[in-house]
Amino acid sequence: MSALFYLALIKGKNKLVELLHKPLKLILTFGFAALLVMNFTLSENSPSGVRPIYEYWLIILAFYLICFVVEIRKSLKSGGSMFSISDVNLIFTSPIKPSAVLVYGMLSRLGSSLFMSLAFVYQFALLRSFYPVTYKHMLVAVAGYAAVVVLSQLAGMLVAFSSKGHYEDAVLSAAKKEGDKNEASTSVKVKIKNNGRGLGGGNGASVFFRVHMLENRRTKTSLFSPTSLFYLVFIAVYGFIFDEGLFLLFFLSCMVSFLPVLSGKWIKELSMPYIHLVPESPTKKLFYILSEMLIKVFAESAVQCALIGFICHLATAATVMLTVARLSVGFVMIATALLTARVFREKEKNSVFLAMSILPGLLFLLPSIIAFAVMLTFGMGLFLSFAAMAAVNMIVAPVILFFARNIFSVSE
Amino acid sequence: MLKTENVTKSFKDVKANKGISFQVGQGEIALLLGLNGAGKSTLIKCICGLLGFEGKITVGGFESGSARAKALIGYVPETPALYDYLTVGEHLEFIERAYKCKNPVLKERLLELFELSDKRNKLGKELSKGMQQKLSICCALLHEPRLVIFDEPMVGLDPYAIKTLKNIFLELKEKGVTVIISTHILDSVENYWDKAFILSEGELKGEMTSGEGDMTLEEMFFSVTGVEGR
Repeated sequence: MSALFYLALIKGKNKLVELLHKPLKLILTFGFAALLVMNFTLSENSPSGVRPIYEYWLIILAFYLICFVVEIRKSLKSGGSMFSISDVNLIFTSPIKPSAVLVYGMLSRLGSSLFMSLAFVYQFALLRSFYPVTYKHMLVAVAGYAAVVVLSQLAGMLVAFSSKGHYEDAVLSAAKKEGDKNEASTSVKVKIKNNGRGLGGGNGASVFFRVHMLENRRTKTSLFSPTSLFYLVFIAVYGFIFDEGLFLLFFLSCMVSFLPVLSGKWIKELSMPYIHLVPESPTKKLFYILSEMLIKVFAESAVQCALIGFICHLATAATVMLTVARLSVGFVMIATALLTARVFREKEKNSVFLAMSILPGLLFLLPSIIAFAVMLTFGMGLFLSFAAMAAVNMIVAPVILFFARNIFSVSE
Repeated sequence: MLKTENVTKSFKDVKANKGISFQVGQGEIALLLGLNGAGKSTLIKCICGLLGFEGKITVGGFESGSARAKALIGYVPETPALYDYLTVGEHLEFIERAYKCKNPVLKERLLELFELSDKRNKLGKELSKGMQQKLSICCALLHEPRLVIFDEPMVGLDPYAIKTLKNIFLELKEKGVTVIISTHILDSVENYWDKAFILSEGELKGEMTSGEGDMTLEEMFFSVTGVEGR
């Protein structure tokens, strides 16, 4: 057995063994698998939508194109990131053939990307309600996604290797990825401009917010992630071209509500000592490490809801309430993510974290969806229905936060 | 065993190494000294074939980065980077497979020397930082390399492990293995070196052979780097 095959096999085996020792994680995994199967079987047996199938393939193609561009951009910006710092120190220094190492890196990356594609597969029921898609269409789409991942990785490697050569690109990006300041200092130095403005304020817990904003400025991180912008275009396309109504557009907007949670800096903060050491109240610290993300959620909600309001010719008051409802969905997702971090007590990879937050997040949103539906059924109008949704979420979110309140005492 | 000729390494406009040339013979222990940011770790990565560079580096006559050169090198990185989901024993098995070597006696001896025998079933992520460093050293020595490069090897080790490591330096030397040690703690290697190379701002500013000259290692270091009295 080759060393790399052995490595992949044993890593996989040990992850499974660990799963068996973590009952909650195991239950969640089974829950997800069951949901996936249910999603397929129930949708397959229900009548499908009648929109032309070419629209489905256009959506898939647009998704592929974005994935490809994002991957290439990432390679140009920070180099290929398919290797970890352990790979660099243990595999790159060994006499294993570089071609075998490349295949190993690509397959590892493909594995995690396919895991991410599960989120895509979960959209089957939604897509089927619009288009006459079968599970075969979905499988073709996932296979195509795998091909896009491999091709984008290859293209990214070609770009990076042609400019740097050796393993250099992977060494620097892996070091950067692992947060190894010593290893990555050189590359960081030339990529990030230090404008010398400093934190510009902050006292006690609020200093965390200042640090996050400064980091965002220096790394030129915008309020809107590429995926969030993609969904904005998605909403515009469905609204203007396909003439879809308010509920679908609002649903699409809510689907991205978990993205700022994952791109936020709070997850990293929990794994560092400072947040635990600062002598301030946990509530205050929690508020300030979440503030940067709350701004993103607010900006995203406002822009998306303004667009939806414009497309659906909503009154200003209804648009404002729509924004508040969308914000409340974001709060529930944030609270759920905190609770997930609290329960699992460890810093998980983003993809795993995403998967673990979605299902409970949807469950926690259920009361507000029911409230909305009930209000609408009783003819209360959009403003009051969205207000009911927001009100219920504003009650649910603090309750979830209450259960996550000890996050600082367990994240260490 | 190791020969660097006019090695220059740049990261865009930052020159980390500038025209570095030196040689270390078989069975010699060489120190790579310098302040933070002097370019020691970059040079080590170039020797290991992890970074591209201008100039030439050969290990045992083979060009650095080639599979034959890599087979001769053992590398202990500054920060131990292990696989979270591989146990201690599995890390060593992985190295055996990667380097196509099999030496159960040495494996057991290394595990015993570094007090890892009872931890062979622990996952990488379950080990303390010191234990990770010990395992990292075991991984570097298991395939019986001819050139072992230690980047800050003492950091995180307990006094017993430091003593063990010092004995290993001498043992390797006796076996004719070349050892390169990059460190800031001069006292820790005072009696274990044959040559010392002092880097400052990416350049090789000083070279010293043990037993030659009147200066101690510390005096030489401060006089070359110009930091004495700061």
